[in-house]
Amino acid sequence: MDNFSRIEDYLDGLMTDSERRAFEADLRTDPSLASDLAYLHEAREGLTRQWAHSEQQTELVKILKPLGKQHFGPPARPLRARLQNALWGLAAVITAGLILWLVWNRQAPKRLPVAPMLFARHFRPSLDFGVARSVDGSNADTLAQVEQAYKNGDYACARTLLFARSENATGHSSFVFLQIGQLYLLGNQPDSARLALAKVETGYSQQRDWYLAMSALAANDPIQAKIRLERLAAVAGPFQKEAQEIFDALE
Amino acid sequence: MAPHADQKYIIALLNNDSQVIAEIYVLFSKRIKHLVESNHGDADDACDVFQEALIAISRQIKRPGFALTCSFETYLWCVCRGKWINELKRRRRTTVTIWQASGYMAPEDAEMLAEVTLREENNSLLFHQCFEQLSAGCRRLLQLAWSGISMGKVSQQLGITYGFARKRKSECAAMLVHKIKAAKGESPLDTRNEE
Repeated sequence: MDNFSRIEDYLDGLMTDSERRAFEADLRTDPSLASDLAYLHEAREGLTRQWAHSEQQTELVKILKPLGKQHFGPPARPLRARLQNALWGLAAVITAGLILWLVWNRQAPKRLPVAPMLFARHFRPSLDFGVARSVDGSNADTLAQVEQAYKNGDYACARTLLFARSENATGHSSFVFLQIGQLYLLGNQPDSARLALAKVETGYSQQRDWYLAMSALAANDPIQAKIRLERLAAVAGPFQKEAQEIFDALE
Repeated sequence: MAPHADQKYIIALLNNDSQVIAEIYVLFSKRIKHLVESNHGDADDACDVFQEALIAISRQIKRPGFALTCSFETYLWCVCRGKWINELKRRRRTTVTIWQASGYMAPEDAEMLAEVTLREENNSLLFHQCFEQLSAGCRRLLQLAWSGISMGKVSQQLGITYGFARKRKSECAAMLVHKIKAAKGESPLDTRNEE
């Protein structure tokens, strides 16, 4: 039987009398046995005591902690001094907040969006009814009505007449849609202008791009405007220089 | 022999009497705070030392045969001083002769009682640390076996044979003692496997 089995039996009182006497005799002659016994006995006693009182120890710690904070923490300042400090602190916060508010809300000139400003500066309708008349003389009366409506500022009426004309005319729908697009822009309807201008096909591509750029500017869509303007600025034509100017202004 | 007049503090620690324990803080904490703060410590250190000293004393007073033979204040002061010296050693500071600096000499019985308390406390912590290093199986087995129930019932609870339980118990006990000896620097740690 190994030492620790004998030690355990000895500490548990499980030995017979003769076994106990033999063990105690060995203790006197074997220092390592004696040492192991002493250690195990002490460890057993200590650990079983700890386990028996662990709950009480936990409760004790709960009592000690707040007392420690109370007696070893920084000394509490008198109530008057604390109230004074609190008031000063509040005053400082209010003052800082006020200063921030004043700086934040300082009246600065409101800046208008850039794109609509550029539209207002650069848009010029080029409705040439003389050209329209020469292209299709058979609808001269309708065209005269359109011109009259345009001069009266009745852009909706002018558009309606032009729409009716474009259904009947052949080979000139692109020119008509170019005019309709401009009439929509004059009537502050850039999205409708885009739809009409999208129907402009060959022969008027630069004008189409120009008025599509104008539509995008009026709709405050600088990205779309720049796409059209970049294309115009890259091609020699009547809109090249101005397109580059507007493109740079949008940067 | 009649119990010491300060026995009420011992009873308070035994019974977790918060009112009397609060009185301990009111009466004795300032002196300990001064002791620690005058010797490289701060208020937090003093708080920890005071608390740990009370816990150590509460463990010591549960040992059979304990008797308070000096004033509680002196006993507490000696335990706190000893704890703070150990802490300074741990922080690798040259120890200040605290008792000379404070101009206070504790009675011999208080010194001896404090010395025993601190030694038992250190042992208690060491046993706990070494026990926690054992495998979960060993810890469970030893806790059951040392709780007073028979090995027959222990083997039943753990679902192992009686013979295996006895064998395993002695192996775990041997491992614990080897760990304690190694921690005290008395013998190299045994390399046998626990499982």
